[in-house]
Amino acid sequence: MSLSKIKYAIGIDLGTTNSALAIASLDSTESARSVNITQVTSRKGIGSSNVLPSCIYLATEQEQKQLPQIPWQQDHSFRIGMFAREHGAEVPERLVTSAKSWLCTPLNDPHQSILPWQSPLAERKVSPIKAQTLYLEYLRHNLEQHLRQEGTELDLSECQITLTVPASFDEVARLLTAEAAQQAGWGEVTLLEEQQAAFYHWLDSNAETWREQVCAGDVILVCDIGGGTADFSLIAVTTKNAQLHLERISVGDHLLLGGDNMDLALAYTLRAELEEHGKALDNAQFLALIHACRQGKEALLADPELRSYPLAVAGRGASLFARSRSTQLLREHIQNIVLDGFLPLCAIDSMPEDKVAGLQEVGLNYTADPVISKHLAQFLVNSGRNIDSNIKAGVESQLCHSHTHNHTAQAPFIFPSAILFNGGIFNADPIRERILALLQGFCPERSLRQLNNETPELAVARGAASYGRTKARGTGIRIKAGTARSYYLGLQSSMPAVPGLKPRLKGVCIVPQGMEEGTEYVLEGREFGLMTGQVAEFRLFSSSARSSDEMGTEVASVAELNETSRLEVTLEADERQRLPVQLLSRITELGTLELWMEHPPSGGRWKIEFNLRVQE
Amino acid sequence: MAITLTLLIIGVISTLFYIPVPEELVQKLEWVALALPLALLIWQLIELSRKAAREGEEPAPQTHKPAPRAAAVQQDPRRLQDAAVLQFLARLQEKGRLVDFIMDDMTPYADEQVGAAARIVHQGCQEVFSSFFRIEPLHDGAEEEEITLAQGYDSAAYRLVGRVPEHPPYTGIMLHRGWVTRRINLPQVSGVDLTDGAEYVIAPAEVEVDPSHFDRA
Repeated sequence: MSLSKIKYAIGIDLGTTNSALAIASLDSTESARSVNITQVTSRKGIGSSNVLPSCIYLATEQEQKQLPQIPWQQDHSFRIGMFAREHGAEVPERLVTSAKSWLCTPLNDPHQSILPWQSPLAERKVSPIKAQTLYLEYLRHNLEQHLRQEGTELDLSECQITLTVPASFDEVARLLTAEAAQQAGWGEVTLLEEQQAAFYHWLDSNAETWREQVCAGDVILVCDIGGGTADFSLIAVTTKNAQLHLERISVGDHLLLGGDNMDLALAYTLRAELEEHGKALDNAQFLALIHACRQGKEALLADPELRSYPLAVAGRGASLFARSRSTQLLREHIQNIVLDGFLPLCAIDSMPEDKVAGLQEVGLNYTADPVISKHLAQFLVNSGRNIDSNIKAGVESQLCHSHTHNHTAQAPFIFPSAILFNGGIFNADPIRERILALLQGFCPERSLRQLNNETPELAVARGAASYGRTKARGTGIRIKAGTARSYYLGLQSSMPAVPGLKPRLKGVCIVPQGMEEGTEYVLEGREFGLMTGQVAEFRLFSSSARSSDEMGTEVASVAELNETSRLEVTLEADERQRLPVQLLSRITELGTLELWMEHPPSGGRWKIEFNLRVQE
Repeated sequence: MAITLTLLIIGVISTLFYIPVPEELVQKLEWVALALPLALLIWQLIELSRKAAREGEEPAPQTHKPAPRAAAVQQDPRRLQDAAVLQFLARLQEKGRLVDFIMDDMTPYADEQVGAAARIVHQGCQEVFSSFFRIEPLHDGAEEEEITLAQGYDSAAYRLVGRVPEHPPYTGIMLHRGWVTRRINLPQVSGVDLTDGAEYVIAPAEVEVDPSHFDRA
């Protein structure tokens, strides 16, 4: 694929709750534009919107024939988008949601058909990967159709395709996403972190002025809160040869916590108040209450003069007058629940509570502590502890020592000098102001400014398309990033066997943190004697807190690492023999991790596969 | 048949009115002029009852009838128009319970209850409006203000009442600002919607299914 052939850059934001699509023409300097997505919008119609709710409704036999059909959808057994989300909310056993979150849930094989979660419809269920594939396929057909209407035939060989993933996704989840894109007919896609994409959108929409808006030494916090997830990243601005450089220096954990949690919390509170007055709500009324709370929240946040927002929920039957319940969403609710509940002002050393009950129910790994402020504080502290010594020099000015009552020698945390908000929740001024006040409280003497993001819902897709354009052109600024974590192979320490004691597992670094696209490393000085024709298994671990480890660094015990998946390799050969092989790790140009076993004397090479079966 | 009869009637009547005819023929023509419309009326009634009989014989709408091809049906503009209006109505009911609101008898309820229901209708219908249209006041200025309309003003956009002279300019008081939509984004009507039977459902009857209720029985 020669670069000169590329005519379009396409950005895909495959979100947990909403997905979006954007396109940028290579021979134009205009900002990437978002592409409307045609979808079933109601029981009777097909419409379009700039986002596609990431929901699949599994239609019943009769509905399959009678619900509106999208002309290019071959399989009519399901509907994707707005209608799926709205109708499916009342038919949860037929509604697939949050498939993306299952890709990074440990103890779960994303190829297994488990969604809708806990649904008894055994034959109809789909795997998280399959669901992601269906969304991606849908988006591809939609783009094809959209371009056809403009008189262009979509030719993927003329497109640079960029698919975004959360910065917190580990290499396995990234790989699975790339696989889903392949399955969906997109071919090879480049992966880009969502938070970087939002930043690329800012760069693109401030193409003329961004160099005046930031300066060397700045650290920018990308604060991304979606419907059900929160992600934080730090991007540092440095200079090299009098040129500004950007580097993504830190990535937070993936939090299953977002704007929807706030609506839910408000609805629970109002329901409890109604019940106190003897007004019980059924399931459907509660769903309507959540919806009304969202509207009320937005209205109260948008208008500081508004004291309360009256809301009413209809009863089930046709008599609207007899069965409606009315109540009020008050400013105090917003203050106490949304602002002080989720985003209270707190100290930099407030750590989120990690309460996990003894026996946790298998399911999505919802974040235990809903206080987003504490997660943000923890992220800045961890970032200060973890950043690489090389980078540290560049951002020295942003290291800040905590001003807390316990003056124990604490590692400095990173105080961002600017913040870029992303996600629909930040349309509301009070929410942005609260985050700014929270950060300012961490370090009152430093200045903090806000970078402007006009379209916090569409920035990721559009930013992905602009990144694709930059990449295809080979010019323009790129953010230096590399892997957000380091990876380790679990190896048994050689020690004399002791009865009753399992040999300890140590970790050997095979992917250092910050390893960049298009690089590869050989694990020197360590050979593995593997029998050909036999499956060899390894355990893979990761860490987001060990930035100084290099290729081959040993970690005495894997206890401080997170287990990611199993690795499996079979050395195919004509005769059975023991081969000394070396391990090679590579990050492809597309941003996915590949591990290989090599036997240099014979030139033999075997790819190591990620084995995602749930074990033990 | 109906057309022939109509032409005859016109012929007879215009003869009666405009062509001088001998006195003795006038009475006969008058009879004919009366008989012909009667014949036309009877003919139409027979046609109607035949049609009704044909429809009565038709079997009840079958749920498994194969859907006619959407493309073929969509060429019928009347049907498409009906389906579009129905779809809009369905959306207003689904989101804003508008049909429930209109069809219920509100006399026995207190204003408080009516108010609660009105909020549901208002919030829901507003959502539908903003997704289908971009509605703005037609006139930028305030109401109760003076306005002058020059020669060539758009008479579709301004309705003049009161003592209106023959020619502009017109000077008057703005009573109502008017509304205009800057965008119409109605969803496409689905092909399935245009098939027989389905097109008159505004809101489906809702049934909660829970197998565990019935297993116990």
